[in-house]
Amino acid sequence: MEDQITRLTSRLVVPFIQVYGIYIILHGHLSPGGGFSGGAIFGASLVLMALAFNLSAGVKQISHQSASLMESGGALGYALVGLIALLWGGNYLANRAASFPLGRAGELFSGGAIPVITVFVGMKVASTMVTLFYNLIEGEAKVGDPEKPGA
Amino acid sequence: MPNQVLMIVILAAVLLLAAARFFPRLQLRTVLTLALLAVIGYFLLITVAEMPLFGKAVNPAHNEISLRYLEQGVAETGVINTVSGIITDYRAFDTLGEATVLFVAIAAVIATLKSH
Amino acid sequence: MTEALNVMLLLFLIVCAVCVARIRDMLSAVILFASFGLIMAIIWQQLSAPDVAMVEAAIGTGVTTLLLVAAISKTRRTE
Repeated sequence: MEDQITRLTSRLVVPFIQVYGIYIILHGHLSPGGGFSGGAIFGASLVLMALAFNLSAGVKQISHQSASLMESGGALGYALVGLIALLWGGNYLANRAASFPLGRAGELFSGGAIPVITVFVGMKVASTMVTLFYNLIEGEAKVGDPEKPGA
Repeated sequence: MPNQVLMIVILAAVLLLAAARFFPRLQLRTVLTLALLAVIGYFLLITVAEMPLFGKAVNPAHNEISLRYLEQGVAETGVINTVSGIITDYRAFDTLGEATVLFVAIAAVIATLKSH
Repeated sequence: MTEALNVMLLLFLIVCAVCVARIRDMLSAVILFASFGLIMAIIWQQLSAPDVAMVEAAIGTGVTTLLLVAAISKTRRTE
């Protein structure tokens, strides 16, 4: 897509969308939102970059390698938080029973394991969106590319 | 209740007769299908009318579990967003399953679409 | 006033759903589905569930539309 208006608009808007997504992830335990919605918003901003410019601009933002690292790291970190709770003497994925420091309710650093889990889920969902979109678009680009037949 | 059924039947019969009068090319099969659909829809609507009303305090959803979450959720999880407290503390294992579903889905997509 | 708004939203939702099922053009169906998701998000907000509204607006309207359009671009546009 070679549209000046789309490019300029998305270049202006994308930072705000990303800050909003990170805000929703980090404030998931204080305000409506959480890992799933914030991660979806963040991933949508990366997809918007790839749509407004081209695929390589999107890949420059987040490469396949780091996307799959985020993907696996999110799931692994979530499971590890549960294992830490086991180690500290609670059930799997326990929070207060495993003596995570709860803090004062309503502050940014409060809730023990909950913000950590939210951040991991956000990472995972964002990279899921990006990976899905890249894989769908890439297959088409390679099929329609006359330079590399049958790639 | 029998009065209503009688009324429905009479109304349906009148409608069918009117349809047969104004649309002479209407086939009997279509008419019978519509009548059957109307009967099924009527019973479905009866079922809907039996369901608990939206937002009433006596609904079965408002039991001791939601009371416990609302009263002691902040003290037990340390977060003021009760929804977040439920899905990542009380029901954290379910959310782990949800993340696993995402993981398996993306693995299937990569295995299917990766073009090499 | 709120009652009227809710009824109108629900009516719009039903119309959108029926149109998505009836329309032959896939791209139009996807756009209609996006508007369905947007109306659904507003309805979740009316039911005082902002978490679900946010997820619906981000995933149901944004990402689903993108992925479906990408899928259409790899297949045929009409049924």
